[in-house]
Amino acid sequence: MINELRIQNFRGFASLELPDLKRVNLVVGQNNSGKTSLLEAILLLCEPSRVGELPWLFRAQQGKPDTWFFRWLLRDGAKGEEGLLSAKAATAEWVLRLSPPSHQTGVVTAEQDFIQNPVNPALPGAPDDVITSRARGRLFYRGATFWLWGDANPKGKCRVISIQNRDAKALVTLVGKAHRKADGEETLQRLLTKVDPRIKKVRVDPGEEGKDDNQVIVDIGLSELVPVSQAGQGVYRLVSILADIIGEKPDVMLIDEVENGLHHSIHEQIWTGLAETAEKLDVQIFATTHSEECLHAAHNAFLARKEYKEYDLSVIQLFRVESGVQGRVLDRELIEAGIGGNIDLRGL
Amino acid sequence: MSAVKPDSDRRRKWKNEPLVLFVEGYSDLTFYAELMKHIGLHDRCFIQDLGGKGHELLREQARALLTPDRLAQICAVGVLLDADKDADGAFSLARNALKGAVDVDVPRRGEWVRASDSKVRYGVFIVGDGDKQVEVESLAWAAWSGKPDNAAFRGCVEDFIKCARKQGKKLKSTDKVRIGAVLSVLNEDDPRLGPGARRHLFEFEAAAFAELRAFLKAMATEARDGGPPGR
Repeated sequence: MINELRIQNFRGFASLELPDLKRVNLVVGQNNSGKTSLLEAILLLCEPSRVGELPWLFRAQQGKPDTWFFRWLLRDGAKGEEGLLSAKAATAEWVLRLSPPSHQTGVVTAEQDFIQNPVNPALPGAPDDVITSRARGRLFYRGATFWLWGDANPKGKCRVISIQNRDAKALVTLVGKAHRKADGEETLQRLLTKVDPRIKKVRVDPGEEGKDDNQVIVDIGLSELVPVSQAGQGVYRLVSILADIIGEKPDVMLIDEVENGLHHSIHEQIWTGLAETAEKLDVQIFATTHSEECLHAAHNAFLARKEYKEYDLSVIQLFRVESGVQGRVLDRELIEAGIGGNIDLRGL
Repeated sequence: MSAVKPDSDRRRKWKNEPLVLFVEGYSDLTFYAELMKHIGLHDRCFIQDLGGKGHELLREQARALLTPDRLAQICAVGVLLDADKDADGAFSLARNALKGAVDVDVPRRGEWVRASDSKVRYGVFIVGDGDKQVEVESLAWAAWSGKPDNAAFRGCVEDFIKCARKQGKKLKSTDKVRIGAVLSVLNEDDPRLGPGARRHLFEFEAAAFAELRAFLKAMATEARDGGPPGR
């Protein structure tokens, strides 16, 4: 589990230190305050070799990732100083560095190495000048405008849930995986029913023989089970989130705009379920939200978990100020003071 | 702490107001809101009440509210606390709370100081002095009872107090009881301080309010002029 994060010169962050992170971390802030960038940094730290996926994971799909996307990974379009991402876990510290192309000290030898032995010269959809190498366990990602270097080995499995819904095929795979886990089917069913009592059953319908039309179907009390997409966006997203956690059992789950499609009246039940599942499966969650109700619901859900000693929730506030993005981690005392005082913890 | 729900009476949230006041409770909030209207600053001022727990919550609520992005739009932050028999103690508490929340030291009460690294100025005003039980109701009582027109009714209120004491009733705050008695007659439907002020029962230009008025006016004047701190 990540206990501390440090980010320098990455996207809008000049310098950001986030200590005392918890099992569930809600990220709040105005638009363009760096919430998604924070998730991207965490993904890179956990699985550096997925750098080539970044353009699609959280942001609107724009075809080929152009060099502009990578150019702006480094703060101020790579004009600035070297970037740094680091995370402290219980027993280790992970560090990744990003350098503008002019900063080649210590990189040149390795560059020659991977140019001679390109392991993966063409990431799917990547432009021609993007090259990765895992030679000697180190990763170099060469866009037109920056270098990413550090230990390329994955530090933890990271799953991403963006604001876009998963396609139906991906959802079938996820629910299938969740059902194959010991207790997975029962856990998924129980959590879904807790949040929405209408949902009595979730299944993968194999479809007709010879046709590639399997789909996730749910029993919501109608005469037959219906495709999950017909049960509403909220149910679709909920199944997607819970099946991902149970089926994939990641170390870190990144959820962008967690409240998306979910009515405020079920937020507390969702957080109760997420808190329980995250703890049971040892998953750490970083979720962004624009919803004050969602934040209050998470707080109340953790307060209500009387069987657990620890209040395992933090709120990460990000602010855009003149000098760039700043942030801080709110502990229980501060969260309570804010909510009790009717102070908007989401920022301006 | 049980599940938290914001008090429906305190729905207003900070909306880019350049002046911020922390006051002890909702009753104080409504009263000070009227005072700020009187001196023409209400529209520019956000008042945060500390839920009646000013002594416990000031530091944390100041930390929660005074974020860097908000402070970039705020000119002045004031704290108004009752002396409650210990004016020095109340001031120390507010001073320490501000130090802990925004790392600004306010060395003297009633004065405005500018944070070293920003344009924001901070001030603490303690209602009352020394070791007497003094609170905002004391100012309201002084203002109301000092008006010659109220002399006769004042006698009734004092008789009521004497009578209560004769009956062995111990009064924690005499001024609060006096004002309560006045308001229960003059504003029977809503005998609270703020609504009483809204009905202009208290003369804000009275001498009793002079120091407080000056403190609050200075908050805005200097915020507008960027002049030196002072009263």
